[in-house]
Amino acid sequence: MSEPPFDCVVIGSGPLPGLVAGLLARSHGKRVALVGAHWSPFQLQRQIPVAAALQTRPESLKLLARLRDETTKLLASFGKGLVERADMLLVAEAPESIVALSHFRHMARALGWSAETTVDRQLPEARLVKLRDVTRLVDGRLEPALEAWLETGVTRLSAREVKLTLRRDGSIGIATAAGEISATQVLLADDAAILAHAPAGFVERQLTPVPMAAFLIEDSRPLDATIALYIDRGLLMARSAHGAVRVLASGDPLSVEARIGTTLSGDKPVRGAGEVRFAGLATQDGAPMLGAVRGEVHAIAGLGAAAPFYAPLVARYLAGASTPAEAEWLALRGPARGNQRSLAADYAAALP
Amino acid sequence: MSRLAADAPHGWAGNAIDRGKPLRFRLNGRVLEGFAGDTVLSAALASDIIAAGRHGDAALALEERFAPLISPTRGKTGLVLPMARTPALDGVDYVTLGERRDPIASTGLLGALRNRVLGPYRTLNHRYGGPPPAPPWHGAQAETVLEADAVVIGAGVAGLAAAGAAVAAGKHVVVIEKAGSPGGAAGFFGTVENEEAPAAQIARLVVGLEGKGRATLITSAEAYRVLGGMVFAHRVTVSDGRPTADIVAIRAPRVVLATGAFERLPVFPGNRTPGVVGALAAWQRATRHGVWIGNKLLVATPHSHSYRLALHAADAGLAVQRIVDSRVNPHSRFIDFCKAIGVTLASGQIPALAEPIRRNEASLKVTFAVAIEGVAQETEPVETEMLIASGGWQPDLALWLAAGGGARWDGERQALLADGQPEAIALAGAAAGCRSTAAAVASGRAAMLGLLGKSAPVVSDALIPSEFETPDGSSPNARIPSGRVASAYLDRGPTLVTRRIAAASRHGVSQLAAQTSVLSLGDVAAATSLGAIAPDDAGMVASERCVPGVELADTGWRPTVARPAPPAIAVPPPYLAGRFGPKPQLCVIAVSDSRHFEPGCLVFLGSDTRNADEAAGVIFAPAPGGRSGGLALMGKVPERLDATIYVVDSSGAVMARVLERLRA
Repeated sequence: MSEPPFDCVVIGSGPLPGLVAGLLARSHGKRVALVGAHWSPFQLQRQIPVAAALQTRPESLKLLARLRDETTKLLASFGKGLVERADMLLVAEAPESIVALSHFRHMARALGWSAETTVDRQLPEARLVKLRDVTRLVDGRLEPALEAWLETGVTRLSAREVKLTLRRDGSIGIATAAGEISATQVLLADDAAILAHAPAGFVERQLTPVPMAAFLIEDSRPLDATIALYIDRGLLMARSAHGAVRVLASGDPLSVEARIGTTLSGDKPVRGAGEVRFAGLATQDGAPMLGAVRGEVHAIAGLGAAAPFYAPLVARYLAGASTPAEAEWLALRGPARGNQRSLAADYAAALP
Repeated sequence: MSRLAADAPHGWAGNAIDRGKPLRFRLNGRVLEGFAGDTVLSAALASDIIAAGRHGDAALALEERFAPLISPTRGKTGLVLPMARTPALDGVDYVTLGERRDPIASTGLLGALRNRVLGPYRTLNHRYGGPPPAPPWHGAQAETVLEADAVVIGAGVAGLAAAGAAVAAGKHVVVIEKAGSPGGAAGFFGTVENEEAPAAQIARLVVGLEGKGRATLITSAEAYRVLGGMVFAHRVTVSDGRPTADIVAIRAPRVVLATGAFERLPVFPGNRTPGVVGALAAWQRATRHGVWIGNKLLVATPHSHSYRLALHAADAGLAVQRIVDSRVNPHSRFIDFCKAIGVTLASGQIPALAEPIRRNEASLKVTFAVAIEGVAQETEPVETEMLIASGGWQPDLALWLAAGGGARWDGERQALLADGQPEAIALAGAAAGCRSTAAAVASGRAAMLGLLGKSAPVVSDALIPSEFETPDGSSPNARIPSGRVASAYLDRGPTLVTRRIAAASRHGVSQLAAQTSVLSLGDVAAATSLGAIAPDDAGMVASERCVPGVELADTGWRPTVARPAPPAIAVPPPYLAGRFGPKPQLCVIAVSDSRHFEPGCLVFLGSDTRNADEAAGVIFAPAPGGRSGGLALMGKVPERLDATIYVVDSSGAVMARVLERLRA
C-alpha cells in the first residue's frame, strides 16, 4: 500500500468536487483524495455556476439560499473577486415550463428573492422572469484559488491513473499507478464520475442520460441579463467581460446549433469559437440526488448550475454532520428514494 | 509578372496552366492577366499582388491560407468564392469582400497614370481589425446530395491509395480534393532511394481508381464538415464561362481523412510580411501555376526538404542567396548538392526579423539569430526579394477534431497528433502522422481496408537513418527583444493570433486563454511550443477550440410544444406532490374582482402572509369555466367555505374565498 488509507475519495472535476474535498479535509478533519483533472484555463467549462435553480419546493430554495451564503463566505476566505452578483433571466416558452416558472417566481418572491416578470418583444408568447443579484462564481478566478486551497490537506490523483472497483460486499478497491488505495467512502461527485464508476444498472434505474455541449460564442446581440436560462431550448448562457458568450446546452445534439443561433444571433449570425460535447445526467423526478449508491459509495446528481453551492451540505453529509433540516431534506433525495420520490419531485429535470 | 519561364525544369512552368490560352479578368477594377488553369489567387500573385492588406501596423502576405473572399460582380447574386479555388476566367469581374481602403487613384485614367509612374499596387488593401468572418458556406444547406460507400477527403497519395482500395473492393468512393487536380504534396517531399518517383506513383494511383467499383473525383472542393455519416463540401465549378459554387453533401458509412499536413509558421517578428512564404506553398505555386515572387531568395528551414526546393529554384534560374538551417551542422544529400553548386549555407540560425524595405515592392530585409537559448546574437540584415520560411509539419486534424476525434501533444515531434477513434472515420497519410511517402500510401490503403472490415498490413514509416540525414528540427521560435514592434504571428491562417497575446499573462495565465475567437491547430501548436499552453492541455485545447468557425444563424427554431386536450379538471403538476400534506384538496378560489391568479400564487388562511411555510395551498391552474380566481391545491381548507382567505399575487395579498371543493 503506497498511500495511507483515506477516509474519503472524491471523484470528479470542477468546483463542487474540489470544494467538497477541501471542506472534508479542512472542516471535518478527514483524510481525503481528490481524483480528477486539474483546472486548465483553456478548457471550456462544463458549468456556469450560479446560485439559482428552477426549483419550486420551498425547502429546496431555502436550503440553497443558506448554502449560497455559506459557500460565498468560504470563497471570500480564498481571495477577492471570486464571487459576483449578476442578473439572471429565465425564459419559458412551453405551457408546462411557463407554469413551473410561475410557481418558481411566486415561491422565490415569498422567500425574499427579487424575481420580476419582464418581456422580450422577440418572444411575445414567452414568459420571462428576471432574478436580480444572483450569486455566481467568476470562472477563471475561482479555479486557480481553489487549486491553491486544495494544496493543503488533499491528495490529488489523476483520473487517468485510477481504477475504481465497487465490490458486491460494499467494499471499495481503488487501484492507481502507485498501487492499491483503501478508502472508507467514495463520492462520485459529477456526472462523468457516475458514468465511469457507478455500478452497472444504477444509471439506467435512477438517472437519465442527457447529451450536453459547451460552446464559446464570439459575440452576439446584447443579452438582457448577464446570465440567461432558456428553459425549453435547454440553453444556459453567460456573457463574459470580453463580449463573448459561454453557452451550456442540454438535449438534442442535432439541434444545438440551431437553438443557439436562433437565440443569440441578431441581424447577423454569431460565430462559434469553441465547442465540446459531453454526456450529462438528469434525475428522473427533477429533484437533486445525493446519497449512497452501494455501501459507502455515494453519488450526487441533478444539482444543475447551482452544484458548487451545495458543497458544504455534501461535506457535512459525508462527515455524518448534517443538521436535522439537512438530514430531513436529504432523506427524500437519496438514490433509493423509491416510493418517496414523488415527495421530492421538482421541475429542473434536464436543464444545463 | 512573377511567372517562371515556360521551359523551367522540375515542372516549375506550372502543370495546371495552359500558356497558349492567355486571359484577362478584373479584380477590384484592376485588369489582371493570366492563363487558362490559373486561379484568381495564382493570377493575382503572378501579377505581383503580394499583400492581402494590413492588420494594425502589419502588412499581411496574400497566400493560400489567407486570402479574402471574392464575388463576381455579375451573375448569381451573393455568390461568395474563395480566391484559391476559383478559376481565373476571361472577362469576369471580381471584387474582394471585406473592409477595404482603396486609394483614390486605383482605377480608371488616374489609376493608369499612377500605375505608370509608381507601379501598380501590390496589395488588395484590406483592413483587418480581427479575424475575418468564416466563409458563409460553412453554415449553408446542401444543394446536392450524393450517396457513396465511402468518402475520401484529400487526393494526395494517401487519399488516392484509400480510394483505390475501396474501388478494388467493388465500392463507390467519392474523393474530395481542394486543388484543381490530385497529387497533394508528395512531389515536394520527394522519395527515398529505390522508391518510385512521386509523379509516377500518383499517376499509378489515379489509374488504380478504375476497377471493380467506381470513383468520383470532386476537385476544387473544400470538405468543411463531417457529421453523422455525412460529409459536406463546398465546390467551385464553371458554368457558361462564369464561376459558380454549390454545397455537396455525401452520405457514406465510411470516411477517410487524408487531409495531409500543413507547414507551421516559424514565429519571428514580421513572419507574415509580404514576401515571406512557406516552402510547401512556394513549391505548389511554382509547380501548379509557374508563379514565383522575385528573382532572389533566402531560405530558412528546420528540415532538409527545403534544400531540395532551393536546388530546383536554382535550376529555374533563381538566385539562392543563402540557406539558413535551425539545426546545428545538419547533413543530407540535398545539403551536399547545395554545397556543390555553391549556395551559402548557415546552420544553428533562425529567422529573427523580416521587414519590408520599401512599400509596394517585393523587397525584404531579413535578420537571423543564433538558435541557441540564452544567446542573443543576430546577423547583419540581408536584403532579398523572397524569404522561404519553413516550420515543422502539423498534421491537418481540423476535420478529425470536428468529427469527434481527439488530439495529443507529441513533444518529440512538437506537433499535435491524432488521438481517439471516432466511429467509421479513419485518418491516413500525413494527417495520421506518416512522414514517408511509402507509409502514406500504405496508411491510405490500410485506413480504407480497416473501415471495410478487412485486414491490412501494419504500416511501417521508414525514415532515412539519422547517419544519412539529420532528422527534422522543430519549428523555430525567435526570441523577441524588447522594442521590436513587428508582429510575430503564431500561424499563417485567418486567426491572426500573435505571440504578444500568447506571451501576455494575467494572474499567471496566458491571455490566449481569454481569446474569444477560433484558434487554429497552428496557433495551438505554436503556443504549446512557446510554453503558453501546457503540453498536457494541448490536445484538449485543440479539440475544443480548433473547431471550424461555424456561423450560427437564426433558423427560426422554436421548442416543440405539445398541446394535449385539457382534462376536465386540471391535474396538479408532479412537483406539488406532498407539498401540502398527504391528502390535499382541490379548491376553486373565487375573488370579488375579475382577476385570474397565476399558477404559484400562495394561499393563506389568515392575513399574515409573510411566511411561505404557513401557506395553506397554492394556485396551480385557472378556475374552471373561465371564472376569475383560480384552482388551488390546499392542505388546509377553512371550515366555512365563505370564510375570507388570502391569495398573494404580484400586487400583494388579495382577499378571496373557497367557492367549491372539487374532490379530496
